[in-house]
Amino acid sequence: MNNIESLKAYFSSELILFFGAIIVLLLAMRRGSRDSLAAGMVSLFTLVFSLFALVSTHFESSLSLFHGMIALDPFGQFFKVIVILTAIVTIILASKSRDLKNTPKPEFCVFILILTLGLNIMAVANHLVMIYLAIEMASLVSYVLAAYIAGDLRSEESGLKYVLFGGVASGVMIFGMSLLYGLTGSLSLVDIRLFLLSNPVDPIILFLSLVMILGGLGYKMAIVPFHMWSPDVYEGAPMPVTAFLSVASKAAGFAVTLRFFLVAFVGTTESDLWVALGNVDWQILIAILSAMTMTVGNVIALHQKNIKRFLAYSSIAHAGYLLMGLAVVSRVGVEAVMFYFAVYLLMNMGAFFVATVIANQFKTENMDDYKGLIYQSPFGIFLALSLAVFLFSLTGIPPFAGFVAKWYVFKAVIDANLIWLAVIAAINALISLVYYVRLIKYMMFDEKQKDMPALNTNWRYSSLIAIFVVLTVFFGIYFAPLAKWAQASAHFFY
Amino acid sequence: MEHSSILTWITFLPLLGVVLLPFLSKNQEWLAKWFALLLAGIQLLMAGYIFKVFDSDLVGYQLMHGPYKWIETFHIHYFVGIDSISVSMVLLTALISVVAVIASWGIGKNIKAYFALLLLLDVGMMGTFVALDFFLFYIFWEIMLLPMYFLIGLWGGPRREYAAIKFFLFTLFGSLFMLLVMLALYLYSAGNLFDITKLADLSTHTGLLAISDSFNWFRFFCWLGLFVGFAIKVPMFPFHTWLPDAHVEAPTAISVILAGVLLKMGTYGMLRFNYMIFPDITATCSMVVAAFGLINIIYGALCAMAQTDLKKLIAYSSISHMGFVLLGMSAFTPEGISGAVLQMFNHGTITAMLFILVGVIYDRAHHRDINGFGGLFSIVPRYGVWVAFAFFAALGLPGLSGFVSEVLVFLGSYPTYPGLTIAALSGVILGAAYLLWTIQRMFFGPANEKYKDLKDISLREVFSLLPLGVIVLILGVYPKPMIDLIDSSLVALNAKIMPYIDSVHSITGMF
Repeated sequence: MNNIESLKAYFSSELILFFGAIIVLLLAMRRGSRDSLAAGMVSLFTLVFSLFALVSTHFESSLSLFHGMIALDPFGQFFKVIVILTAIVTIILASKSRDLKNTPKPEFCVFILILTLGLNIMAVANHLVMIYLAIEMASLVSYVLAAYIAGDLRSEESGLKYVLFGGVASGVMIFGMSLLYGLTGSLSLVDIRLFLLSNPVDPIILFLSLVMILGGLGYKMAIVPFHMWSPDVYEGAPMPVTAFLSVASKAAGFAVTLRFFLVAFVGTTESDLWVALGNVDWQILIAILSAMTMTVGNVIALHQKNIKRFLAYSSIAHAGYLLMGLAVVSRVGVEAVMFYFAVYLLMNMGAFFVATVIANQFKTENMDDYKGLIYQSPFGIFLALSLAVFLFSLTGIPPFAGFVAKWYVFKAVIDANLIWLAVIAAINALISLVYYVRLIKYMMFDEKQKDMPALNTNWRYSSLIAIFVVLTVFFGIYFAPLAKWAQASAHFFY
Repeated sequence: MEHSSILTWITFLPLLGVVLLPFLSKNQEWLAKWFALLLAGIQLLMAGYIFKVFDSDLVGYQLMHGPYKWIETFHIHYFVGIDSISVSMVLLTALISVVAVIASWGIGKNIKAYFALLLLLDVGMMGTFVALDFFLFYIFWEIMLLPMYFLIGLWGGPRREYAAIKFFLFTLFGSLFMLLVMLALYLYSAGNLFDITKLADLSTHTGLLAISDSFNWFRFFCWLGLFVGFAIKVPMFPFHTWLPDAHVEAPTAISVILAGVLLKMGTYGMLRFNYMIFPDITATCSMVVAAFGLINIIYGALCAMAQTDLKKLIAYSSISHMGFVLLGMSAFTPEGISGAVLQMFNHGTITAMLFILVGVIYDRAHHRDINGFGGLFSIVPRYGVWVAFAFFAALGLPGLSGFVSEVLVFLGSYPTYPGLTIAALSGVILGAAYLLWTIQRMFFGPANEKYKDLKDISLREVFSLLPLGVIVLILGVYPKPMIDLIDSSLVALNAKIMPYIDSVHSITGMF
């Protein structure tokens, strides 16, 4: 489909984000607290409109837009919804964050909107150039956001580290892409697949180029061994940014990776997966990466004291579980990854909300200060119980949604006969119990901290936390709607 | 077969308390206790009704509710029902829940939360015994972990946090492998099943699960995954180390539930899953299971003998007594299996009494050191009589229920494993030894001056013991109703295993 038609019919969600960002930018030129409130409201409306435009886009069959640059398919729509929902939650989370000096400045909202736009394009990019541009667009804004706390050394370090790692990663990735272009003479994922199916290529160079591309994508997904940046960046960045990166950025990273491998390298039927990749057993490679990622994440998380670092390593571990779905590369695996992200959004954002409330009121990110939280006040009970729900859900214990998400990826790998990976993941779930429960123990079993200020009830946050809790429990018991949605969305444009 | 929603009601009734109790205000906390007692009481009445309507001549599942579609995409159903293996466990759960609520009357802090968690635990236990869908079973099985973790961790003794996390980790370790097996069964059964009743039909096992003439290792590992998950709960040596810690730290009522009901889930799960779904592997591995049963009996008894902490002693005696269940189960004779199920019920009632009695003395003396007492008979005679009664029941005195089930186990296991059975008999002697020796140290000899003013057992405590004591006595003299209740499904169970059993008997004859 040509550009004009694509823009007219199927790009309204992105256009709304773009113009919304410009309006907020205009607001940002006039300073004052009223305007920053207005900026927040405008961004929220923009995101909600964009979400609305997204879900009301109807298409009979999957399409290729902008001369094959972008794919319009249920898979992309799903991830866009996840990203926009995360952005909405992040704007609310940022509305009262100590890291952002209470109210975020208008430019913060601009960055979030642009980042959302970039991640959305990542989720649908169907062309190597578009993939690269979208990743760069998202990365550049992320660098700024990570270093957003002016004058804070940790935040500046975080931004710089992010730039350095990101720069190297995208350099390596684009080198890999150029090799792939050299081999196949095409940049479109669909054409690459068609070429590989009919023409033999040098397997060594293909392997090399894919490893390089995987390096770049792996950095976006924060998988081992490309994860080194994430704990430092997550710790230094403002809390809402950390929350956003840990869900939306990761989701878009997985979306682009899944699309890249499943569109460009899968054979004609589901049974000859990876066939286009020649002799190298990619399934084992991804499975090993997955096992490494979850093990490293979980083992290092055991010793964390800072809540952000704790959640950073936990999110690395979850990237490992998600990779299980990628290793399977089938409809079942894609479905599992999508389901996982929908649930991960709930439980991880929920945990970040509680952490933000505590960071705002106790002025601490140290997990030792969570001790005896449940004895602080009725609001403390609410926070402690909610966080316990999110943590149990992250561990994967029924009746919480996190259990179903784990169940899904386990099902996918057992279906693909990767039983050893399922066993490793099970042992990892056990390790993760130790550190998640340690925080629960701090909150509930330990004595109350004496010198902590009294907690004030924050209704805006509490109501959202309550919604997250209810949804986490609801989808744990009755996950049919989410499952149906994921199932219906596991379709790519070929 | 008639449908009935009674099992749904009995399972989810306590949930009402879980939802309502947190809304009570601070000075209404006494209401929490009464409300919990009311719910548990209604549950017990329902259990009585189930006992009445349960047709013990019928083979197979009864009082079924469902299957109703729950998650259609994956063929997950809401499906409950009982057969004669689970009916006694449903009765036991309802009974122990009432006893546990009465035994928790003295809980001091966070009363509302305590009783809400206790009722949630009740839901999980009841659900585990009635679920006929593997997914549903797993949810109930795991739901128990959370309240148990908090009940031990918040209301327990000095090392409660350690005990709570140890319990959690051990059980989750087992259940994660159970989860993998559940998925394997789902993916490799014809028609992708979670329905336990259909999975028990071996013709649905296809693909990697298919039974062949040669030994199927995949089936073996599935069996093992389930078995380890259940063995941890039993607890079977060498997975037993969490039990003494959990018991010692848990408050009295939680120990009662732990020993009374939770341990039975392990052996119940083996009968329901390992026996029904993998009868071939069960037959092949039965001798190993029996040997582990023997180790449990002897090892548990020897450890119990070495204890000076009364609660730890009883915890180890539980391990020893659960060994009888394993031995009886793995013999594949009608007496053996019904003896095992009866032993599950009897051990539940007897051990619950023992733990309540430990709680009674601990509440008064604030320690449980066996050697720290002496001559208690002259100070607290009524308490002494209760302890003697419970101890005699535990050591298998004829006329009390423990004797009947132990004899049945031995009668059943002797034809299959004569050697193991004779060795297991020494466990009875050891049991008598440590229990009588404990009575001697605590109740005879010169009275300890320190405890001259000890109060005798109170009326409330008697009330928590009385129902258990009556049942122990009745089943000791007239066990027929219980055995009748248990027997019919065991016929079906045996019929399932018989085709695989000849080889077992020929190999194991020498033991």
